Formats: sequence, structure tokens, C-alpha cells
Amino acid sequence: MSIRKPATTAQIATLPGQVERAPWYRPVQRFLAALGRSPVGLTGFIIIVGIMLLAVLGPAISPHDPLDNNLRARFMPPGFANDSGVFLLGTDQLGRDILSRIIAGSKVSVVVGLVSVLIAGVIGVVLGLVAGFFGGMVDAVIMRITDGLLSIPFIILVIAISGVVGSGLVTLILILGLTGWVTYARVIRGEVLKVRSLDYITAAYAIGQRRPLIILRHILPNVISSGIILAATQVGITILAESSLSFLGLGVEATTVTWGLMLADGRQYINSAWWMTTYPGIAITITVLGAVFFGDWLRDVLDPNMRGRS
Amino acid sequence: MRKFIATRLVYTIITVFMVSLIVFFMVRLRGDPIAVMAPPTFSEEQVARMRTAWGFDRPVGEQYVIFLQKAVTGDFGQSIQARRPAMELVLERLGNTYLLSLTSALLGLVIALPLGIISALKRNSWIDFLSTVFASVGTAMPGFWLGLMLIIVFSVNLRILPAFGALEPAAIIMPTITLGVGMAARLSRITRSAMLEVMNQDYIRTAYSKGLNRRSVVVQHALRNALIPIVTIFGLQLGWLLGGSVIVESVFSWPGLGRLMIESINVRDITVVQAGLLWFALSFILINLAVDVLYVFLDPRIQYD
Amino acid sequence: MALKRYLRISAVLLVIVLTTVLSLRPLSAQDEVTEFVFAHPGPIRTMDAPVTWFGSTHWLTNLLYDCLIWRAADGNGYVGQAAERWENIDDLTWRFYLREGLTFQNGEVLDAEAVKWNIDRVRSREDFLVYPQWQFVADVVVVDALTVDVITKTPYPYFEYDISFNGCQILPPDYLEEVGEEEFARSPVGSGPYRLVEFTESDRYVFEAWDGYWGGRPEVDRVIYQVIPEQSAQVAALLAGQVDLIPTVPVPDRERLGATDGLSLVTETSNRMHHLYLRVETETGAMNETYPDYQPATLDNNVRLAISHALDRSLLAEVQGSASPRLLRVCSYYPEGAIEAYSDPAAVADWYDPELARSLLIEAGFDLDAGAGPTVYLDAPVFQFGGEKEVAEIAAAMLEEVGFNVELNVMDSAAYSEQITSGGNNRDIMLTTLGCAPSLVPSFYQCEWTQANYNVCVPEWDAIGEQITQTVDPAARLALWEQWWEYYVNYAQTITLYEIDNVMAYNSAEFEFTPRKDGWFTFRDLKVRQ
Repeated sequence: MSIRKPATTAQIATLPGQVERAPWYRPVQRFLAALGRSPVGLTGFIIIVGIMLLAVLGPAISPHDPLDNNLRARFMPPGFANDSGVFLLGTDQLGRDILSRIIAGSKVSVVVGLVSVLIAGVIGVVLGLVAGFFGGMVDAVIMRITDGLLSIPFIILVIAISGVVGSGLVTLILILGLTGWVTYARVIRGEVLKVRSLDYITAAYAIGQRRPLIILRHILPNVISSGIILAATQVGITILAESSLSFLGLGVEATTVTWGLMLADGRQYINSAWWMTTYPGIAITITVLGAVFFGDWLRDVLDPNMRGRS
Repeated sequence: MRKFIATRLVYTIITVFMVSLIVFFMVRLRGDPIAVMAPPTFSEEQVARMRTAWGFDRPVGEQYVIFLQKAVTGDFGQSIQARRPAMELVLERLGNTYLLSLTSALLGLVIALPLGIISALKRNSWIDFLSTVFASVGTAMPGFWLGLMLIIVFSVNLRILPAFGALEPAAIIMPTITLGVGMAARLSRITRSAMLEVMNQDYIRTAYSKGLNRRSVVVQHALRNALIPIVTIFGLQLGWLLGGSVIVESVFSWPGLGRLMIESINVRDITVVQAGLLWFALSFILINLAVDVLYVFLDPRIQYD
Repeated sequence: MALKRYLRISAVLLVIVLTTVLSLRPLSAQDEVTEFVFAHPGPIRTMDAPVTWFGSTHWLTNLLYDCLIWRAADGNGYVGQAAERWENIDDLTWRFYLREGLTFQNGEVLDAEAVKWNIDRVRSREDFLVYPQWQFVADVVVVDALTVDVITKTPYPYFEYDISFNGCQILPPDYLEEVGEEEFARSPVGSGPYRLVEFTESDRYVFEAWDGYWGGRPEVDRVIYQVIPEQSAQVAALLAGQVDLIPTVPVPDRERLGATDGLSLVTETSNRMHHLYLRVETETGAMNETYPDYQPATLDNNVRLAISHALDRSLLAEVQGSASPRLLRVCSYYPEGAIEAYSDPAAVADWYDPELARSLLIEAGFDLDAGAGPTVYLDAPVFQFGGEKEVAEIAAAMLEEVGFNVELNVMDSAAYSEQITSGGNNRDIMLTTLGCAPSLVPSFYQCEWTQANYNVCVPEWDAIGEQITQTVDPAARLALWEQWWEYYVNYAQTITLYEIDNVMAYNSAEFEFTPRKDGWFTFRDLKVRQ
């Protein structure tokens, strides 16, 4: 864990803003420079940015309308062409363009991945801070809940809950967000425990700073990097969970365009139309791979002590 | 050591208790569990009768106590669909899930250990690179998709492996590979880094300097010590394995607990879902308890008193 | 080097563990026994036959139980099962002469008393799904041990069709009373050619030929229903030789399976039809409890007709994969005579009229030019008998084409049948599979039913339906049917889309299989190829 080491207790009292202000672009510059030195990190970053661009630009760059069906061109193999153009990755059971549907499907993955990780992250960090900082009963209760939740394999828990509460994009995001916080809470709590007893925290106490302020100003900045590292990893896990749920018919509505549902459709025709299952899976793999690479790189950069660990 | 195990036992019991709470309240996420369970055709009177019969008209606290009392004896109520005790259905399928988990875990270990060790020993070689690629892709790939790809190759095109069910022994091969590869990807990373860490330790250098050959250093000193983090991660990844089995079982129609869970969720057969969920959690908790106890034997240097 | 040795040892270990573990599992195939495995798509409910109306369960019960008489496999009339012969002795009475020495598989005697007990059971138990269809029976009279009379309430033209309908299975009364219904559903006993020897809930049902069958031991020793819900898994299982017959072949796989050595592709009607089921009430009925304040646009007859005219049935049939477009709820296996009389392709094609649909909507008060067409929910299962999701998507597009705003809701099949079809929780339109038994169809549109479920009643239509089921003379009945169908299409309470074909593939190297005309997958007559 990297801990910003304040030189003296005197500095602590006037911590925020007392450091010399760097130009705004400096952190960005440093970030990009660091990224440039790591091929893996750079690959991950490019993949993530690429997928996000796909999600945003979708309609503008997709060769066909992802919903446009063409019954004369059902189950056409990759490279098929007719009057309406080329179907690079083939067509599905209604003659819709697989490539366009993969592009359109990126939106759900990106939204679900980012939003539910954000929800999970915020809840997890807050609970982790509270548990670690206050200890005692609060800590015990939160940690026992995480024990319980962690002992049910994540995907099974999510499947069961969505079976009870039903499907839908918003529901899915909430389910993934509200069950995913556990890992953050665990890790953040551990980090807080390490930081809490350090000199400058004790000093902050000594000069009479209020506890919420101490948490926000001194503890949070020291533990947040763990949260960020975790979040990057969790994005991949969440996207996998979303596609699994959609594949099982428990995720989003059955007519939404998502990679998981494309796989579920393709599975019906797997004996002849291999392209219907192959390409959406590749899309998921590449996206998750991007998140994994980027997460690994972030860990290396933000957390020198954990370098090399998985 | 006894004290350590005792403490772990207490924590395990608390965790099981927490899981029972989660399982109990999960069904009530939408408020009245009857809303989830009762067929829509039921009249208000029938729903009311069902509510009394299942005890949902009592205070929640009381309901939980009853739930717990019954759960301890393995009674989760009747399956609404099959009209048999939910636990009976779960136990019928449990063996198949354990069998699949066992073969996949073994396959995972058999691939991951040598791969991790070799890439640690030959750091930055091509084999290290390949194993890193394998680990990353294996982690990023959805398990069920790998399963589908295997079906395309081995069942559809080559026609050498059954794609479905448990009708013949060979049917276990593809689900095992699907789960085993995911497991191996996750384990080989940790094996590599654990080995790297250990190889840099003083005692390894000492061992070398004492003139021991490479083989005995690796096997007797390095691997032995690296096993501790490997076993921990292995225990944790079994949770991933159990979760993955739910989806892989439905890809290959493997008649295990996971497929039963999905079927039951689809028809809102809540008692079976509860029983299944608890079994999954219980299996996972006990595995990790076993892992913790295993520690003591793996690492005699650690004092637990 | 150590690692190599390690690798070798662990590989050997894995093989040992795998083989020990696997050898514990029983091998299913035995050489001397001919075994036929059918890939059964749906769930299997209880084996106590009358309780369920779930068609595909009766495919199994038909192996286990005999009925009095049964529909001939080739669609021509009926064949005797427990009854050797039967006759209509007056307007209301049908006499059945049972075969001599019939017993159930447990030794219990199957006589006239047993027959009476069974028919009385299904027509008096209101909790049975089949209860309503057995109300045509007024009484069952035991003449002697081998002769039994069934007396109908009115002259009844569909007697043979209905006496061999679901619920006709003869169960052993003593045994059933001794063990109770719940236990019986688990270990049923019948008098049919096969015994149920083993089953795993919703997974595998094994039937074994019974030597004591009156017709002699069947040719195939074991018939297995293996539940495989996924179409693709069915195809793979057939290719791998794990099953011998699959009921539906997905469109892109047809060519390939047909060209595979040892496999054959056969197409036969399924006698199942896809319909759009419209909601036409707001006051009463099951769906009202779920959507009490919802005002469906389909209340307006013009809107319903607009839906019916907006659908290009031949295109929908093409999307489904293999189906024949229809306007009327009439299947190929139809006791009322040749199907061609009811399914004139030109009439079906003419009915498709988007312009008419638009003007009907405008007449109903919707300002289509302002884009203010009626909003309708269309509920459909992902997959039931093939193509449901795709058909729903295309149908939705057709409706939008004429100005509807369609909210398409495609659900998991099991959840769909649980919540939508059996619950009747239909907001506006649901895509559903319906049969077409002529004796039953009028009853679905009778006031008693429609009043309770839809709060509507068309007395004239009702009267015609009532007459149909009592008119024995075929010509007179046909004239009544013509009037009845007028109401059916113009009232558009249910909209018929097409009749679905079963496109099957089977192991023709080992078996001789001729599909039944009634679309049932039951295998009493299966032959082994010599």
C-alpha cells in the first residue's frame, strides 16, 4: 500500500491546497507517459477506450441497422453481400447484421459495467471506511455480512436474486451494484486499519479535527487507490456476470441487443451457424481482457507493493 | 493450533448463520414471498390459504426461527413444481455437481501448477509469455462461451464428444475442460507470482549456495513455500468454480444442482432455490475451512497459539 | 527433470481418478436390448394422466396406459385399445365391448367396473384440467364385466374424438386407492405396452416393454424420453448418436441433417397452431387482478380486426420455419373433413390488408398521421414449439407498420407459461400455441367462458356453437360451422396465424418411424429396421 508520507505534523494541519498547484494537464501527462511505458496497460486502455467509443458512436459507424431484419438473408455466413451491403460477420436468424448488433450490444456492457461498479464501489468504500475507522460492533456487523455474502458464489447469488426480483436493465444494474460492494468493503477496511494508527492520523486527532473530516481528508486519499484498482478488475467481472445472466434469460429484456442474448440466440443454431455464437463471445472476451489489462497496470502503478501479484 | 481451529469453527458457524439470513430474506426482497411463489391463477382466497399454510402471516422474526429450525433438519419445504421435498431434489443432483467440480478442479491444478512454475523459473521466456496470455484470455473468456466453442469443434464438426447430458462417461469431458481451463487460468497466475516471490527469498539463495541442485531446490524448498498462497487462492477460486458450474451445467445440460437451480428459478420454485443456494454456500464455506486447516500442516513455521 | 515427471504423474493421476469416477456411473447402452431414445423438449408433469392437460406429458402416458379407443396413427378413424369393438346403439348410448382377460401391469383386473371408475373420476373431479372436456358424459353404466355403456347428455357427433381425448387413460382403481394419488404419480401402473421402470424428475423417463400386453410384447425393448430443452442440444445429441429422434430441427440444420448418413428428415403436421390471443375485457377474469386499471386498446373490435388484417400470415409462417398459414382455428388432423375446405390459400392471402388495417384504426378514432396509433403490449415466450421469439418480433414490426405502437415483451418460456398463458395475465396480445379440437373450440368462445374471462358475450354465436356440438348430420353441421367461423374471424378474439409442422429427424439406420397424423410423439408402433 502506498502511503503519502507527510513530512511533518506541522504540514498536516494545513494539508489541502498547501502543495504547489500543478497545471491541470500534468497528471494527464504523467498518466499517459506511464501508460506509454507499459504495452499491456496501453493495450488495455486502447481496448477500453475503443469499446466506449463503439458504445457512444454506435449508430453512426455501424454498417446496418442492428434491428433491421431481412428474411431473405437469414443465417448468412460471414462475408455475405447483397443489395443492402456487406454483412462482414454474417447474419442471424432474422437476417440482422451480426457486426451491427455487436456494436449496438457494446452499449449495454459499458453501461452495466460502469454504473454497477460505481454503485458497488461507493457503497463498498463507505462501508469499508466506516467499519475500519470505527471498529467495534459496527465493524463486526459489516464484516459478518460480507462473510455471509462472500460465501455464496457471486454469480449464483445474482442469478437467484434476479430470479426473485425479475429482469430489466435497471434491475440488473441495481442487483449487480448492490451485491458487488462486498469485496470493496473488505479491502478498504483492511487498508483503513493499516492507516488508522499512523502518526499523522493520531496527530490529526490531537489537533482536534472532527472524525468525518479525518476520514475524508486523511484516510480516504490513502485507501482510495485500492478501491480504484479493485474497480478496474470488477468491471470485467461485472460484464461477465451481465452476459451470463442475459445468456440464461435472467438479465435484460429478451429483445434488448446484448452480447449475452446474442449468444443465447446463437446457441439455438450452433450446429450450423457458428458465427452467431463465435463473434459475440470474442467481443466479450476482448472487452473483459481490456479491463483486466488496464486493472493490472493500474495496480502496478498505484500500488508498488503489490506489483507482480495477481 | 487447537485454538486456531476452534476460532475458525466459531467464525464458520457465524457465517453459516449469516448465509441462512441472506437466503431467508432474499425471498422477501419483493415483500411478500407469496407474490413470487403463488401461481397467478390463484384466487385471493387460495393465496390467503397458501400464506397461512406456509406461515407467511406470522411475524418475520418468528418465520425466521421456524425457517432455521426446519433448515437444520434439512427441511426446506415442498417443491411447488415437483410436489416433493426440495431437499430431496437437491440431493439427487448434488453428486453430479460435486463430480464435475472435482474433475475440473483437478484439471485446473494439473495445468496450472506446472505452467506457473515453468513460467516463474523461465521468466520472460516465450513460455512465460504464452502462459500469461493463456491466463489473461482464460480469465476474460466467459466460461459458457468456451463451452459453446468446444461444442462447435468437438461435437458439431469432429463429432467425437457428446454435447449433452450425462448419458455416457465421455459427456463429462467438455464441461470439465470448460471449467478446468478457467480454473487453470486463475491458478497459474498466482502460482507464477508465488513462485517468483519465494525464489527471491534468502533461504532459496542459501539452498543454492549449499550446492543443492536446481530440482531439489525448486521442489523441496520453493514449491513447498509457494503452496500456501496457491492453496488459499485455490480455495477461493472453488467459489468461482461452483458459480461457473451453474452456467456450464445448463450449456451442457449436465444434470447437476446448477441446472436444477436455473430450472427452479425459471418456474419460481422458491424452496428449491433456497435449498440449492444454501448447499452451494455450505460447500464453499466448508472447503475454505478445510483450506485454513490445511495451512497448519503446510506451514509448520506459523504458530497458531 | 522434475517438472516433466510431475506432469506425467499428474496426468496419470487425473486419468485414474477420471476413470474410477466415471466407471461408477452406469453405462446405459446394452447390446442385446433395442433402445429408442426420444429427445423430449418440454417438462414432464405428473404421471397421473387426467391431472394434467399438458400435451407432451400424454406422449408418455400413452405408452403406459390404454384408453377404450384411440386415434389411429394414420389419421383414419379410431382403433380399439381396451375395447375390442364399440357401437352407437342409440342417439345417446355408446356400447364398448372390452377385450377378455385384460389386466394391469400389477395383476389387477381391467374390467367394466374399472372403466366406469375412471370416467366417473375425470368427469367429477373439478380440480382436473380435463374436467370440462368430459362433461359431455351423462352416465356410465356397467352392463356386465366386459361390457360398458357410455351415455351422453345430448346426441354428440364428436363422441369418438372426445372419448379418446386426454383423460381417457384407464388407471388401476384398487392400486390407486391403495397407494394414494401422490405416490401413484411417482410409481404409476397401467395396462399399456410399456412399464415405467425408472425416472429422474424432469430429466429421463425409461419405459420397458411389457410381456403381458394384450397386443403382444412391442418390438422395441426400451423407449426412453430424455428431456433436452435446447433445440441445438437435441441436434448435437442426434448427431452424436445419443438420441434417435428429435421433434424439431432448427431451420439452418435441416439440410445438413437430411444429408447425413443414417439420419432422415420427416415433416408432418403437429396439430398445434400459433395464435395471437387478445384481451377484450376490463372488468372480470384472471388478467384483471394483475392489470386492474389497464384499458386495453383491443377492447375495440376495429382495433382487433386491424391487428388481424395487419398480419402477413405467410411471412410469419416462413419466419416460424415450417408452417401453413391459416385464418381459421383448424388443423390438418380434423374430424370435420378435408383441411383444404377451411384453408383456402387465396382467402388467407386476401385477408392480409395493411390499408384496411389503417383505415380500421382511423375509424376507431386514432390519429395515425400524428403518429398517435394505439399502444399494445405483445407478450411472447422465447421458445416453446419453435420460432416464437422471432415470430413475435416480426409480428410486432408488421403491427408497427400499420400504425400500432408495440411494446414487445419476450419472456423465458417457463416463466411465460406460468405467468402469462396459464395465468391469463394478458395485457393486450399474447402469442400462444393452441390446439384445434372441433368439439372444444366453440366452448372457448361461449358466454359461460367469455363472460367470466372477458366480460363479453355474443349470444347468437353461442347458440350456433351449442348447436354444432349436438348436430349429428355432417352436412347440417358444416353449414353451422360456416356461420360460426364468420363470427370467429370478424370478432377476432383470438387471431389464428398458422399451423405448425413438426420437422423431425431420426435414426433411420436402426428404426422405421412414421410420424402420427395427430402430431403426438408416442411410440407404440415403432419398428426396428431389419
